[in-house]
Amino acid sequence: MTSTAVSIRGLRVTFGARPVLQDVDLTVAVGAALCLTGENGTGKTTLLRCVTGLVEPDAGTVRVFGQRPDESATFWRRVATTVEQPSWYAGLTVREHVELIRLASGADPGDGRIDRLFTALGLHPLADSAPDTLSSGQRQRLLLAVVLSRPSELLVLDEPEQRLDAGIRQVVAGQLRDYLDAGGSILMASHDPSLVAAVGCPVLSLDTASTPTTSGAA
Amino acid sequence: MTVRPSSGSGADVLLTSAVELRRWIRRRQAAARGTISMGTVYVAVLAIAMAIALLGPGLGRTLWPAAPVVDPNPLTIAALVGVGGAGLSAALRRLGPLVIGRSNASWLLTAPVRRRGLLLPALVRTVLAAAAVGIAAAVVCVGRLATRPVDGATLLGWAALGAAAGVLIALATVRGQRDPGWARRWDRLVTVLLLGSGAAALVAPVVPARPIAAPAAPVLWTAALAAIAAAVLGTAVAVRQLDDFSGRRLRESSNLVGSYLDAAYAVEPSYLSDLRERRSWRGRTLRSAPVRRLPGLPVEASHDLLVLRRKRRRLGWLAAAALLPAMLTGSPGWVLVPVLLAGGLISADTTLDAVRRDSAQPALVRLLGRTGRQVVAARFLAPAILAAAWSGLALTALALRSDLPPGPWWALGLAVGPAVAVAALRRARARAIDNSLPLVDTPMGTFAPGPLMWLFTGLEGLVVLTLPTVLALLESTGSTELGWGRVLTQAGLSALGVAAYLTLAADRNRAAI
Repeated sequence: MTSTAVSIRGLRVTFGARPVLQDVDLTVAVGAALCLTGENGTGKTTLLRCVTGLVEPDAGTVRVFGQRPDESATFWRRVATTVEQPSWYAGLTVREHVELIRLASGADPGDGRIDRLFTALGLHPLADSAPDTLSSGQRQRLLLAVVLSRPSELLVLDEPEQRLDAGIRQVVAGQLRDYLDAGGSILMASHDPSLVAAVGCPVLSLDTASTPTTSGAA
Repeated sequence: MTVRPSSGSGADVLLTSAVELRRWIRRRQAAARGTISMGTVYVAVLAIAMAIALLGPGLGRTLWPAAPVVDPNPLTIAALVGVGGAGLSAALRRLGPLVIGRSNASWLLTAPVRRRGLLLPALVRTVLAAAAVGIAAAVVCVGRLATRPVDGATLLGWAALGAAAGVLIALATVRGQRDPGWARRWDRLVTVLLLGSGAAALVAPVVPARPIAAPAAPVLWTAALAAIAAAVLGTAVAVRQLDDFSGRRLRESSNLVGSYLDAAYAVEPSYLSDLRERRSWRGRTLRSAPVRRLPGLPVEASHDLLVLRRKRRRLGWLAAAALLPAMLTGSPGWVLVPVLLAGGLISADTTLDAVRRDSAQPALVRLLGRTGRQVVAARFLAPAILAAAWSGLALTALALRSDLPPGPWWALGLAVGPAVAVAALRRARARAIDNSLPLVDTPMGTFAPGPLMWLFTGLEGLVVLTLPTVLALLESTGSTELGWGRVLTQAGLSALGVAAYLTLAADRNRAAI
């Protein structure tokens, strides 16, 4: 069993003539976290999309638990991400979406985990709403509830603080700490230093280094 | 531009003349866009002339035959009139019926312009269109049923009655657009009318009813004048009430019709299903139900069952519509086949919105951690059951009521269901129209094959997989008895189609469909 959750070597991604990521190396050990920071356009989301297999790099290797991210169901049972906003099912409520995802992962949706998450993220008043009717901040809370409700080994989070109130950000940080304590690994991008500090994870800035070599192992 | 201050408060609220405002916008738009070219006019006139030349004579003979229908059953006539009126109402309700341009809905509804002036053209359009439909329906009825020769006054009387009836239906739907309570009551009435018409059409051939004589001219004209008076009065009331129209409802219908026009303009109808589904859920109050695994069934089945529970009304309509083929007793097989297959496809589509969404954007499939094949196989269950139930019911009713050759038609319906569900699933997974395909040259000119290919996605396989049923219906006018061999062939072909589809068209590794 590999002790590395994410391993990236010599990653290069180019959109057209514009290089977005150049020779990026990083490692996230199992049970550890790494936060990517940097200005808009420095390639944080692109890197996360490479880790989840949603973007094919031009060069370099990306390994998640020793395997190439291949979009297989096996991969997605281990990895949960907020990199993409789902197209929520019509006719299903917020609560039912979360229960469906938890049920599909083999866990019991009635074991209290969802209730605790809904309490923490303030989703109880929205439980019967349709996701399409939620505000962007409420949809972000729903997406976080979904990825936190299902068992996984790696969370890939793109700016989890995005559109959230300050109070909820601290709750999210607490949930992420609990996830790490339970043995999970986290690779995330963030613009919020207080959230990063609250999670307590090392930071890799994509701003300055055209060839960052910092490893993010905890 | 005329502006006048509002009375009352000291606030500087100005009411602009809507007529002048519209005229000003029209002038500016004409200046920006230019006038219609003679080439466009030529193409439009030529297209209309060709359509009339190609379809006109045949259509004319069908709608106005040389001799009228002999002794028509009054119940059948009542059913046709009921279905026609309900259809007109449903179409108007679905479209609005009062619609203004999307840009007008954005800018003018929020401007200090009187609604009455803004909406009057839309009301006039609606009323005139409904009157035209009413006149056309009345003329067709006279053409098919009236004894020859038909005198001009009688034709005019029926046309006036048809126009007034069309206008009254349009006014009722306009009132429904303004007042949701009225809309609910009106929809209920239309539902009763539709079900009554269906029942009348079903029993018409077995219930002997004496043909009724055409009303005398004074009776016809009295009825027509009364209806016209009611229509005029109703129109006046509707015009007065235009100022009370809610902007939200106008925006909703204007955006919807705008989206339909976008789809027509861009030849991109693939997102209309999503639009329709979103609209059907909007305004519904949902209460979360526990999502639990059904014994022995995949998790997606729990989702589909939940959706079915929430679409009880649609299921009721589908059950009622299963009697439609039976109403077409005596029709040739080439009429029954498309009705049966279309009904099955529509039934199967009840739960397929999830497939459309997952196919367009598989983020939820990734979160579910399921392979494409697992998801497609699971999402196939509900459509297969629905299509089998609908087809079975439709063929049972048809066999009971018509002179179909004896045989297990119900079983044939059940057997064809899965094949229809495969086609429905393929359509739901169809990607957006590919407009990058090279143009195809034909003697009639070039055309883009993308829309045609999109339109036939799923249907080409449907014809092959349902061949035993199609042949049975096409041969139904003969005396060949339907045997179990035909049913088993259909069941085998359906099973083969399902197995091939799940094996070849669904990914067994990737979490995407």
